[in-house]
Amino acid sequence: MYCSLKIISDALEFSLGNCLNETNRVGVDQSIKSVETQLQNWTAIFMNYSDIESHHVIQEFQDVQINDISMLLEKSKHSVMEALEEIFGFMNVEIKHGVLIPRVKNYLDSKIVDLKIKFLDFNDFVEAFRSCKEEMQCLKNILSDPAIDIRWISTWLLENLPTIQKKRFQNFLDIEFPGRL
Amino acid sequence: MGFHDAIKTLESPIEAMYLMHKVFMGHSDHTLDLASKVETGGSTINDVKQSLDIWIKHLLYHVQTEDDYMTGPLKEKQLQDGRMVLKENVGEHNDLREMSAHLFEEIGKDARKDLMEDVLAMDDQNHEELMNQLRTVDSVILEALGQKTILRRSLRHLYRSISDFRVVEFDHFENEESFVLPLVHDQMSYAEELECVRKLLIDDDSENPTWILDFVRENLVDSDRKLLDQISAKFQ
Repeated sequence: MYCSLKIISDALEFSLGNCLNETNRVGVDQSIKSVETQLQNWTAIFMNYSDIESHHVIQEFQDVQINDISMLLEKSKHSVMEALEEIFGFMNVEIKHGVLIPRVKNYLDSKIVDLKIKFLDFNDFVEAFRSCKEEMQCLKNILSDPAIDIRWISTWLLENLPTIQKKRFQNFLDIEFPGRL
Repeated sequence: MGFHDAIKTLESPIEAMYLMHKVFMGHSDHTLDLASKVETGGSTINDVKQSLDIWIKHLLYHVQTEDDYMTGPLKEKQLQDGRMVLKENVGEHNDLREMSAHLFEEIGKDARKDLMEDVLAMDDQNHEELMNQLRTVDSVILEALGQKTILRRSLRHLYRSISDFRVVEFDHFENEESFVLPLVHDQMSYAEELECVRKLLIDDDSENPTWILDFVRENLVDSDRKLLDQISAKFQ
């Protein structure tokens, strides 16, 4: 299995795509609450992702201070957090009584698109500047951390990964954590 | 009335606006769909550019003609919340003009330049400090990300701009249908409404005056096309 950041970022990206599909179904077979729950779960996983990311080392580049790269990563992460705050603030003010009129749905979608783009921008920086010293063991180490709720995070990943990665992750869990889920 | 809803009848000529808005929104959705597929190879940046050209050409003609022949001759009305209907409408037209100019700029922008501007925009308090630091690291950032990632990033940002433009267009059309069209009803005669719609659909200054009418007709479903034909048959 590869670095945990890769598998989590794939699921984070895919999840926001699903979230956009769900806003189309609000009032049909989904409620706005389910979109909100999905975004809250996304936020929790993103916090894990950013914590894991900060524990990966920054690659060294000639003539560049580590601090500069670190600051760039921080700023980019901060813009993701701001986009999340925007969404929850918007939902609190504009979406009342669970009704999502087309105009408000457009704005919500546009804020989710913005979040997705800011996350992918951040992830590009992470992929370019962070390096994983123990790629083969990374995910196993993360999931073995007693501070992490392995059942919750694994279930979320299985629900939100694209099909191929989901199968690979399921195989990984079956081999590395048999009987734990 | 939603932009995807069926339109059963047009009670007066100005209601042909519903048909135009429906087609324009359909084209905007199509352009956004094209933009979403560039990264996976389902469309090309040229497809997006062509579709965007058509979108903006129609929209700019539409808002200018409305300023000249629709909102221009109308008397202002204040809404209960204090907003002025025509002033708002003209303001929205200006916003759309500005956003369309920005989109043209963005589609032709160098992806590397776009990235560096974006990085700088992340900080508004220590801009100067960050800029100095970035002078030394920008080439490293560009190199570390690689051309493919930079291009992907640029496409994502273009998609967001198109999506934002679509949202503003949607609001504008909806506002216009809710607040401006009733004023047209109240203040214009049947003949004036018909002439206003004719101006919106026929470009008298063009070598091909029916370019708007043809585009709208082509993109309507049969039942809507019949309604448009009933109106356009009355043009002189």
